[in-house]
Amino acid sequence: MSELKVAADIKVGDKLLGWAASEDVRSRGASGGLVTAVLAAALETGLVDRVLVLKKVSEFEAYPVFTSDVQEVLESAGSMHSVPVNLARYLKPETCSGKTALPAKPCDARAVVERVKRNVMSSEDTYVIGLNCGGTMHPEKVRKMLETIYRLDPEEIAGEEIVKGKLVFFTKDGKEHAVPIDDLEAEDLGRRDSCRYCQVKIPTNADLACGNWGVPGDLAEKVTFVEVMTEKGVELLRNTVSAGFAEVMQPDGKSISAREKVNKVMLGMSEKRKTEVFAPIENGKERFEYFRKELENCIHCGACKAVCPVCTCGEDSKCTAYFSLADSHKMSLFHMVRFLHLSDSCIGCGQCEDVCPAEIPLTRLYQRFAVPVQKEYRYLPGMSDRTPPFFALKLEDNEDKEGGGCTCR
Amino acid sequence: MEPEKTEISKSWEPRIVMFCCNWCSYAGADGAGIGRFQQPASMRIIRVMCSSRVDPVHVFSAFLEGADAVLITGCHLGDCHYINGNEKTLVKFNFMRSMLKELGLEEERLQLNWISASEGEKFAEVVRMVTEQVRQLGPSVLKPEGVA
Amino acid sequence: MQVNNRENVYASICPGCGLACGLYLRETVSETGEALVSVDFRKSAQVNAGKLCSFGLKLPLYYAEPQTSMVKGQKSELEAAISASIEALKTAPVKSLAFFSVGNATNEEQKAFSVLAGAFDKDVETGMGVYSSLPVSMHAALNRNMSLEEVEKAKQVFLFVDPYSQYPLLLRRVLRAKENGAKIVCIGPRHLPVADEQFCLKPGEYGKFLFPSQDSVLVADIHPYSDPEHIKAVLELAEVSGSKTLILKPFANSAGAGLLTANTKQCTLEKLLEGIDSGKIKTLFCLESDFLELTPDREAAVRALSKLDSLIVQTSSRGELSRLADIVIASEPFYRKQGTVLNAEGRLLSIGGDSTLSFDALSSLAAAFGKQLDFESARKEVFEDFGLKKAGEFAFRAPAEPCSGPVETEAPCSKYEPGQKSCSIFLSESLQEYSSASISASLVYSLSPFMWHGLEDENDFVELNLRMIRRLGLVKGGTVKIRSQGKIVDIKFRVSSIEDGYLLSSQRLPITGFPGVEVKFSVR
Repeated sequence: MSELKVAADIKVGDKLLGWAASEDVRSRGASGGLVTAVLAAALETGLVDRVLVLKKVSEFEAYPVFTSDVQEVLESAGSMHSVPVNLARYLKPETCSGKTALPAKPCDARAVVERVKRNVMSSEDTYVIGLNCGGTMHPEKVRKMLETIYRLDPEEIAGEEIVKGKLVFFTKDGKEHAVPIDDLEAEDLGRRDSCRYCQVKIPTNADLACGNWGVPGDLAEKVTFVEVMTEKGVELLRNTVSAGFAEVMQPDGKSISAREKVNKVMLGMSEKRKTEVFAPIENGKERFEYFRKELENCIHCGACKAVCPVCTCGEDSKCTAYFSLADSHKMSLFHMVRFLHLSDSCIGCGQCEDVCPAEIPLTRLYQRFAVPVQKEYRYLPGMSDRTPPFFALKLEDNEDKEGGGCTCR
Repeated sequence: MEPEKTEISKSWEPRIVMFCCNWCSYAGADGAGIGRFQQPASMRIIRVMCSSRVDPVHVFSAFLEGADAVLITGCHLGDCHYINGNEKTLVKFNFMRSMLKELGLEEERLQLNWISASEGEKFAEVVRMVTEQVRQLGPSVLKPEGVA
Repeated sequence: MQVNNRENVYASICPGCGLACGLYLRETVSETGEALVSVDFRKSAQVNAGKLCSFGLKLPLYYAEPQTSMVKGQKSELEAAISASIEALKTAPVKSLAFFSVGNATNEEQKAFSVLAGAFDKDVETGMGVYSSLPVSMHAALNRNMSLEEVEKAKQVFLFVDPYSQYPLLLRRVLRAKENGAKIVCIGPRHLPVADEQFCLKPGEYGKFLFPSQDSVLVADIHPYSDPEHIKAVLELAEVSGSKTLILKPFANSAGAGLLTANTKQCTLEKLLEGIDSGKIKTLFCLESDFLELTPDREAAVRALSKLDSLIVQTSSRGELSRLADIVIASEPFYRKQGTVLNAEGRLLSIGGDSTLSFDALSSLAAAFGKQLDFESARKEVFEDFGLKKAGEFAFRAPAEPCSGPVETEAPCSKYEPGQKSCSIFLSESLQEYSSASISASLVYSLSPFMWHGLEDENDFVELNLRMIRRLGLVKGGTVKIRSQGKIVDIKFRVSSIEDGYLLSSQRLPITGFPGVEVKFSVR
């Protein structure tokens, strides 16, 4: 095993293994509690004023809170796969004063980047601690899985974890119950629809990218693999190490390639799913009929817009201002404007789908428009600070753009 | 596809909403009139100060209210009265076109053309051409029930 | 810059309708003490999986203005308002008192309110006179438990309500049922996208056209303006076919209020208004119930209320009623309350707050008249009544049937007009020759949470079908003139897919009160 790395040696591009120094934090957080340690250290040393974390109500319920209380940060630890919230939406001018740190799945981190572009907050004041993510689950489906597949009482659940393609539930009696996610998804359970075709698994757009992929077998559950992505990431990690909250070391080459491999496998599965879900509908009239049919049950509650982390228009937005319930159009103007707006900015986080009372697969609909457009412009929203192509001043600005964060072919 | 074309009655004439910029295309329309170039009466012209004033909401509303096509016209690139308005129009146009195409509308239903103040003949020709294309396509799927 | 806002998050429920959807209420209290309320999605909620309708999303408006206590138009302390109420109740002749609560209050408050009313030998009025015009044997069926989840498993769903506008969180259950292969039969003037079959029927025709089976679910609702004939017909249909019924209710605690006032004789809102107008009722105490929003005729109600000796209003929301009131007892906003509501499924849900301010006001009123009731014992009684040990997302009322006592029944009132009326077609082809001024239609109100709670929605229009709009020669962007009872309203319209001869409105029109009536159109 190699030696511990000193804080001053941490630099952008480093790939390290880390763990919380405190036994308590290690036992609370997943994989050695590094993320919790980074957040706690940032608060304790005054690097940030507040952190945005999930306050746990139960295994299936938590809500976002801003806090300056280290104790609350410690209590928030855990992977919480069944609380699919996009934290970025809570970062608003009213709430974003001072410096804020937050743990972020790739879709949270992408939303943060898009919100920064739209001047909701400044990038310098927001510290994003990225978490690798293979997908999240809707609590309603989790309950259904427990009842119909695991045959467990939801009240008896003490925790859950996704290990090697299996969803594992730990019960209060200390037992483990594992089912392959593929089997769950064959029954239309398992991860949320949008997670199944998600294109970003390692949040390389965050300041730090943390996760358990690439952690050698003998250290599993004990350490976190962390990649330092930005200068702010350096700041965060140096701060954590020098304050004595965590220790980091250089992993061997095997770890780094193992992490790459997991990522590649996950992305490959997503890509396959994406091809299936977005099989082109060749005939224009059939395409129109598809959208019309999916939207016919819309009750115009506006929840999809309210929850959308990349929509920063607020109350006065084109999609609502020019839409009237009194119109009896073939398709609502609200949706048409949203389709256009999201064609270059939809990050596919699935929040709209989660909250739609008419169960319209909205993320799929938005992605139908986003997939070809984002491919054409070689632009993946939320992955770089590139101006959204719609706001380009002239056509050439959108051409041959490199570094658009595009991993798409 | 074939039978649909024959279903369209001969009396059906497309209705096309046309946006003309104040400085070039609108003057082009005048030129077409003065020069007595023949053109069908399918256009409903809306004058805007610059083609970049045309917002996606305008285009979508036109379709939702029953337009069979929308034609946006402006000054030639480099000749914009506002330096680079039409460059921005081009960016937006590409977005709207791919969005409407994905929604199921034929590409010809949204068109962009640069017509200068002196191009009266071109104006008439564009109107003829677009009208003929749309006539071939038939009424738009977005046309509300009860609208001709 | 550092902002020192305090944030309170309540895992609460929506006060909009009898489904009582789960949600989070985030209260941001600024340094000056002002509270800003925002709504968030509680995805783990069993009723709605965190999904909300337009009303739920507009709750910040509903909670916008906190109430203050008033005595005779002057702001006052809560205690002063309570003692003024005690005085008013003491001096009023017992016979002329009336207590009114439709189901916006918690079960515990409802209990305390009943105790207070009991001190005067009175029952609490819930406005559900319709119960009293139904045979007692049917009451149990109206309060039977059925979870929304069961709708998903039905083979056939018969919808007597419009899930899109009236109970939006029912919609996803119906859609899932359809996905599972169920046939969806809709009964009403609006053509619903989810319908496999659509009927517009009179209650007498249900048996003739509708054939539910044992695997069917009939979904209807009961509210202060329900036509007893319609309710009877639905329940009879269920009994004959052995199908299940899900009876929805308009207020968050309608079901609780209904059960806690079971075995009492209830009168209709019309009767209540008549009683006030004729001077039989001289003192009216409204608990979280806006009589003006609910009354059949708003103008008549304002006139009648002015005849009262005293109007006592205990409420958390500001409305015209509290401006008319002699005494306003301010209660905390719904989400801050401690207590429970029983939703239309029969689930006993906690509201999620920790304040008993409103309950305490009622119990100190009751105490002034010699009746003691503390919160804990009220809560215990509620649990006992519903056969439960605790409230929660999975706490369904035990299926005991408490309403077995003798209840006087009334002959059903035949006055009920279009609520669910026949599809008589007024615009047959031959009518073309008549002057268009004689065109008439049945006005049907689409009763939604917005209407029950008097909250504005962006629906300032009426709905007609294309054929009627053509017949009337209306043009886009214009308005339609509608006449009824000598009054005229000029209002925007929308082309909708509805039956001929119907006019739908989801807001109250100033020409007529509830329920809807026959109206005529005036043409330019």
